[in-house]
Amino acid sequence: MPESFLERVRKAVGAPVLPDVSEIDRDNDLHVDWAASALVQHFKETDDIEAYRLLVDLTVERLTELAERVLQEEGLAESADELVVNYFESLFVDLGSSRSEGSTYLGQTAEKLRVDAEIRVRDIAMSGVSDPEGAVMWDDGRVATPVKEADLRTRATRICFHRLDLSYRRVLRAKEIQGLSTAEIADQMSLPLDETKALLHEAELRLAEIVEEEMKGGVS
Amino acid sequence: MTSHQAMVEKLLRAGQAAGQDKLAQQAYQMARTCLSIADSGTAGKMRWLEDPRDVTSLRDEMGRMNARTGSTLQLDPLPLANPTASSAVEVGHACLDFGEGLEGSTSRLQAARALLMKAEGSVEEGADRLLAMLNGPLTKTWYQFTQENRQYALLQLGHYELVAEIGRGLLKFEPMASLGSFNLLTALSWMGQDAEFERSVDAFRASLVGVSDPGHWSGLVADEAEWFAEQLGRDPDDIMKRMLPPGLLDAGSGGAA
Repeated sequence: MPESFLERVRKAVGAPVLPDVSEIDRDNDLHVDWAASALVQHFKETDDIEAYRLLVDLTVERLTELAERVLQEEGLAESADELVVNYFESLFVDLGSSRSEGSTYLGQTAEKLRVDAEIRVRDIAMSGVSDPEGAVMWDDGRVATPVKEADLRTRATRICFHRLDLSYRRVLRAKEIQGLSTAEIADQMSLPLDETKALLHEAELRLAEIVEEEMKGGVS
Repeated sequence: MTSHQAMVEKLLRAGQAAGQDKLAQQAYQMARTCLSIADSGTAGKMRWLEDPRDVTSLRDEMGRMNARTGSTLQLDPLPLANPTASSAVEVGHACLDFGEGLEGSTSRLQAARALLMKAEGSVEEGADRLLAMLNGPLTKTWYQFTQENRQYALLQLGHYELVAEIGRGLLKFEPMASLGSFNLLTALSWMGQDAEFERSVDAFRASLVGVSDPGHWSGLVADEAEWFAEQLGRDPDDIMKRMLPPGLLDAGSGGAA
């Protein structure tokens, strides 16, 4: 009979995690919190890579959901996967103490994802359209790869999106990234349908306006 | 493979890659630490823009990252209690080899390798390595760093005319290159060229106005002023006044390093 996931966790951390249950219910936040906390603590104390593997396996879906919620609340046009990848990269190289910060694993992690999202919104909004990422620049200022107009517009749209007010970013993200209908957006944001339609329209107009300003070299 | 498995695999790879990057960074830091240990017994003065990290804590962190990534980078030859110059050179080279395996032959690794060679006594080879770096793409900061360190190696080899030539070129490129300017003045002193020393000293003095580490510069000049004066047949106090701006002159007269 194959070993249960809970047995693997107990074996990895060398402690009777969740002693009263026979298997971890991944939809139960209490189960995930207990097991994940034990795995993180063990990984940080012993550098045991098996604990890291089990943590990833246990939490990936739950953290992706949390990241998606954070991204929608922050109105950030990035993928939840990217936020989760960044979280696990940071955890892998974190050599700090494993001391509990007085909150649950999921609570602490949601906070970390939110801080990361806030930093990303700020960084993207403050970046310059005419200094494209990935272009090879020489010391004397020459750019090795000419940037196409279409690429520049895509980049400008991404940057300008993150310069919009939060309410605009939220409705546009819900429509363009989550693929929700206007009625679903109204439901998600607890707004009347007419108001949601108007907000979407205003957001689209404002985005188009500041992208054009940016493409002309103006200040938005 | 299910989407769950695919995502788990992706995250495991991402963690490993981040760990490798971190280890490459630590290996570079360890190479610098080894360089400072190897250099401590040499006659020269290596100037660190940022002090190398303490060997004990760095080795502990590298051991942990080694475990997480499954790396086999060997640090054992460097005894923590009493690291010797030769053990530091051995581990320093191993760290640079390891770093090159991960990030290629980057400027920082090439420069550290050249300085390590110089510290172990292969000064000429170190200088050649620095010269070779100039053929590749370098940022302005690395160009200046390479030329200043090349000058320093060439001073040890007694190639004063070449040091002066590099210094003149460097100052056209970056007039505020204090170290390059100092190396130029040192070479001119060795050659007894007082007239060019006098023409060049203003640029050095100007480059020290507002430096972040005035104590370092005033101490360096105070240490060398007597020797410069002897080579040029001048008075040491006059040399100090010519080399240091008024604010640093007060600090330098106390000999603080």
